[in-house]
Amino acid sequence: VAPPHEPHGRAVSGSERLYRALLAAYPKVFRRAYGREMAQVFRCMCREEVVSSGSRGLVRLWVRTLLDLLATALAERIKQALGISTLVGSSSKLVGWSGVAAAAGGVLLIAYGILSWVNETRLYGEVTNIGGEKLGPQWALGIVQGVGYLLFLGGLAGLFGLVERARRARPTQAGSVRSLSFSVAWCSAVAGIVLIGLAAAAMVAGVVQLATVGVVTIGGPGGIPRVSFLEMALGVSAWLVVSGLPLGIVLLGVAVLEWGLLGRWKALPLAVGLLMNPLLNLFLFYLLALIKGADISDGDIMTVPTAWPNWSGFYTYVVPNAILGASWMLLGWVIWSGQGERLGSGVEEASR
Amino acid sequence: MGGQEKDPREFLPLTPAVLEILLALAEQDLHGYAIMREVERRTDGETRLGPGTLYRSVGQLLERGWVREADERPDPELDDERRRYYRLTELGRRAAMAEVERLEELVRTAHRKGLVPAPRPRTAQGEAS
Repeated sequence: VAPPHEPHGRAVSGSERLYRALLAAYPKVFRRAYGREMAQVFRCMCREEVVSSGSRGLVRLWVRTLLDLLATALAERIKQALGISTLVGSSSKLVGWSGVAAAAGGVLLIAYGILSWVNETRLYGEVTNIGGEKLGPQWALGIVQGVGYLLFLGGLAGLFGLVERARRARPTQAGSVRSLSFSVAWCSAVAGIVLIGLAAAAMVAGVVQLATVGVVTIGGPGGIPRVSFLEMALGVSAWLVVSGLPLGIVLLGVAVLEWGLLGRWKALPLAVGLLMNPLLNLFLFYLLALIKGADISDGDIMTVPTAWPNWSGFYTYVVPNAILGASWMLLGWVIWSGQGERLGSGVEEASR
Repeated sequence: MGGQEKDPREFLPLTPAVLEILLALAEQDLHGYAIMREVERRTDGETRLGPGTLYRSVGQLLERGWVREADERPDPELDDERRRYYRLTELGRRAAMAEVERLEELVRTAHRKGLVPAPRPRTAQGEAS
């Protein structure tokens, strides 16, 4: 720590303390290995900037350092996530458990759909103008949905691990196109994991509302309302979740198909990714709404139910979540029941 | 940490930060901050490595066995003993040379295709075209 008699000594020591605190953004292993040295280097940089350019230099240094920290901490976190998945893939027991997690995620998603439907009907049935206090269960529903997604992502970790295992077993056959699709799948899915965490947090905070799977409510009857920067950022994050995550799963599905994993279920991950595609989701909803004659003339997918049973809400919440939840459960079962273990013999035969 | 050694060519092309660090360590062992200063000095301040980029790259180099921690310190009397010094290994030297060779080939191709940049004026006045 800079002695107080040095010029701008307090600014330097304060900066160093803040930087040390920000190092928490890196994974623990990285922090333990290099955290102390990084703080030491940053202190030297601070002193040099203060001596040569004063407090302006210090501000410029902070801007540069924050960008550096953001990019490298994210990269290290992604690397850590990949390492965990590789570890999961190396253990049959963990692969089995990841299947259980995916299936449990599917159960929660179905529960979320049903509870949302019941909740909406209950609210609209009681009052025509929903008061803030009546929206209490919304955050609880957000948690059910968020935990469901997280469990499903745990299931994906097992699938990623299996693909990684296959890739390692056949390194000579890992062409650049395959490597690329694999890398893109990884990056998209990991970005999806990060962003869905943000969206879940935002949902819990009541800032952004994920209306249903694949559909985000950002506008209203009067067009897109004025929103704060935070709301806009969270809205974009939510859109990335509903688009980026399915893209990652689709690419993972392509990798599973290419490697011939999961036996006769090899097309299943691709199908799950496509099902999660927001456009397909929206198309399915409109199709069902048209078949059932729901009023969508105002372009709003939500209609106000006046009597039980509320079929509009049923097609909004229950049907898409049930389809998706069932597909997750099936995928979880395939992974859990050892279908993935066929991979071992398949890879060995192919590499002979 | 690094396991079995891989052919450095598998890692090409190197990131600019990794190549800069290998170049900085080509002549002497340096600690993190000295690497940063050396890169900045050599590039006339155009390349400034942040602590995150520097140590992420150093971590990769250690894993690949291209760099290792130096056992002895250049001048223990004058230096902070908590600082770690890094040394380029033979494998790291080969990796740097492979990357330089790749870049040379790239430059030769560019020249063949007529992409020859005009020489940079050394002084600001008079020489600039």
